[in-house]
Amino acid sequence: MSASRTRDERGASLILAVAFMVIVGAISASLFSMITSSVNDRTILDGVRNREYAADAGVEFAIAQVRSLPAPGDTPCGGPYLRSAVDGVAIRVECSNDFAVTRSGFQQFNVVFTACAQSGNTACGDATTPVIVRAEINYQRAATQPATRTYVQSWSVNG
Amino acid sequence: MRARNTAGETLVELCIAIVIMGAVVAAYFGAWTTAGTASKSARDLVTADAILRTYAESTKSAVRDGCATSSASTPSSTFTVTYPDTLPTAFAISSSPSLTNQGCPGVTAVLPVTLTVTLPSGHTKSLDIAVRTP
Repeated sequence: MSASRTRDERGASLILAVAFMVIVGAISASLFSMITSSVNDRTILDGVRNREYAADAGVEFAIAQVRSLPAPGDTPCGGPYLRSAVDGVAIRVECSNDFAVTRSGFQQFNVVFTACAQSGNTACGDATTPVIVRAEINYQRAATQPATRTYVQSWSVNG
Repeated sequence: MRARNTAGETLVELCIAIVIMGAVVAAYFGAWTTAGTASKSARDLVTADAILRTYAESTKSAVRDGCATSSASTPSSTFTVTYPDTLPTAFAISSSPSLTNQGCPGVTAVLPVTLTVTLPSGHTKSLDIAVRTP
């Protein structure tokens, strides 16, 4: 055997095996990386969803609170309204009246609500507390009367 | 110079190479199987998310339509939520409180609802929402 081995080929198979191992190892590593990334993305997206629905719940709560006022859309709407631990996210909701009169003279008692994650006493819209939900709600009511129904004029979610 | 006896070296090398390659191939198939399982889990989580969102929007819609009154300050009596689509196989949904003939929330309050979806693996994902009478 050694007589036929004119060149020194010792270790050639081993080198091939090691090369094969390295290539397959790289493929496996990239596969794992892809799957891990997918699961991590899902976790992040779940967090975004929870923030959205927590803000949504906070705004719904604030709308109901304002509805209990004697003349919603006219008297100061109060707030900020704080909701703790909905979907694990504490929410702050601020409001402001946005009274309007239509061309036909019909009065619209609107209130604008903005919701963001709580961060101390920082107001919504700050760099650390971006607005998650902004909603404009119309309180249907006669002058100086409590609201009989609410209508969503606009509802934007900023994720 | 006389070469030393190298008889059998190639055989030994081949044996070692086969063992290494066998181990690598086994590890690769193990990784492939794990990746498949993880991929299915990720897909199930995405499906669960879609179910939760659909269920949440259906609940809000049911309250909006079922509890609204035209002029009174008191809500209608009850509302019922039905999931609008066919649930994917092996998924299940539930809510707390039950959303069948559920009393409408008062006009100045919200009704907290926890929606839960059970995945084929048995794991659960939940979402808390709040609904109110319009």
